[in-house]
Amino acid sequence: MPWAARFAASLALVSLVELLLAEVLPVAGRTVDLFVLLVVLSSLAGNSLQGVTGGLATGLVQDTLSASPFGLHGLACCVVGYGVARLSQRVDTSQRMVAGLLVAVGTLVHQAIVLGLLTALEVGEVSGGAVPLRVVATTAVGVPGLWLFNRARAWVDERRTLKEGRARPR
Amino acid sequence: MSERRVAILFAVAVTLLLASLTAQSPERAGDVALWVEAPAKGLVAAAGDVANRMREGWRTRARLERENEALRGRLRELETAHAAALGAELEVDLLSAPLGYARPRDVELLLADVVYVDYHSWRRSAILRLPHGNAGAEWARRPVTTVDGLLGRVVAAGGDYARVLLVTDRDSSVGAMIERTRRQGIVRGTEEAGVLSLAYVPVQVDVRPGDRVVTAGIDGVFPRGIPVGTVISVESSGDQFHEIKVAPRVDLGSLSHAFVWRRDPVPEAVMDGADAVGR
Repeated sequence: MPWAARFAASLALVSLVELLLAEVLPVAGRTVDLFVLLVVLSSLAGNSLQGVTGGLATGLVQDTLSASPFGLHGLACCVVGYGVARLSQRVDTSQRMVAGLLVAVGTLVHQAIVLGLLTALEVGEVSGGAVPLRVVATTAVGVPGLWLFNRARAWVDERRTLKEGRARPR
Repeated sequence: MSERRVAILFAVAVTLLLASLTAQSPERAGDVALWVEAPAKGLVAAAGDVANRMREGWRTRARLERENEALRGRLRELETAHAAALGAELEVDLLSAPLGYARPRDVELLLADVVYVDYHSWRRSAILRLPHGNAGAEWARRPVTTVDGLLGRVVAAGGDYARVLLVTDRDSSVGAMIERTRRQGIVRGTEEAGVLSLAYVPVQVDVRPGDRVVTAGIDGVFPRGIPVGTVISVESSGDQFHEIKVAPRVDLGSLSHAFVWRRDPVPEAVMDGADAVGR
């Protein structure tokens, strides 16, 4: 499956989970930002172009689902996606500590951009008190999520290798 | 896609999103635009300053190079003239030895402070303070100059002081000549404080504004070749002599020091005798 299709599927899944969380457990929906998580994780595994496009698409979907001004999360996620993709080319992302740090920094930057733009444009409610909690919660969810993501990717790669081995003519 | 293109794509996306956001908040759009524009304008202004400084530096350098080249040329000319003068001096020495001609001995100059100057009133004069022990009646009629040219002559001395009759005084007369043509005349002071007249130059003589006037060494007081001034106007009103106005070389408004020449003038008795012979 090409990267765009996989990313679109992941985005759809994250959107669904966010919508469900907003209905079932609103506090969790407001605390953990799964969209940022998706942007960071996809940027860690991809290149700069995938970071920019993935971040932009994710942010615009988030803008569509939320009541924020259109483009607010698009801009923030685009910056985070591009930044994390460029950073991941310079650091060893296989280390759990580094990956966790990137998730935390990405979430923090995202929140800072959103709050800064809201303040500058005066187009929405500004509440900076929840930012540390969001950063910690998103990072706490992101690190195991990254581990699961890596495991799932390894499993898919293993399955693909096995499948190709069986299909090879003897 | 190369990293540069991705960066451009990223910048375009961010710009478009910012534009979209500002469009949703028109009242703050100006501020946001200012945030974006101000650093860009600052960068442009800084680049302009750098470019201006570089251009100015280049112009200054070009001007200095031209000046330097001109000065080098002038130096070469002067060196050539100096070498020619040294050669002429040597030649004069060689030729004068068999004739028994003795060149005037070198002149000593005595530096004096100018303590009083009056160059506007009826009697235009200055008072010099001479180094202690140098003043005396024997200083009368000694030439006085500055670094620029002729100032006048000593008319009285007493104590450590000497009174100088300025070249611009109406009673002052100096034997002078036009340097370019060597034609001689008499320089006198005029009614105007800063103007001299050069008299007794026939109308047939070529005189032009800008000609340098120097002492002619024919008056028994001033040695030859001291700069007196520059011709500023020449009029020929039908008489047999030009009416020549000369601007003095020395700026009387900025006097501070002067040189008194130790050279002995021709004794007055001899001058009187010459007058008697002339009669």
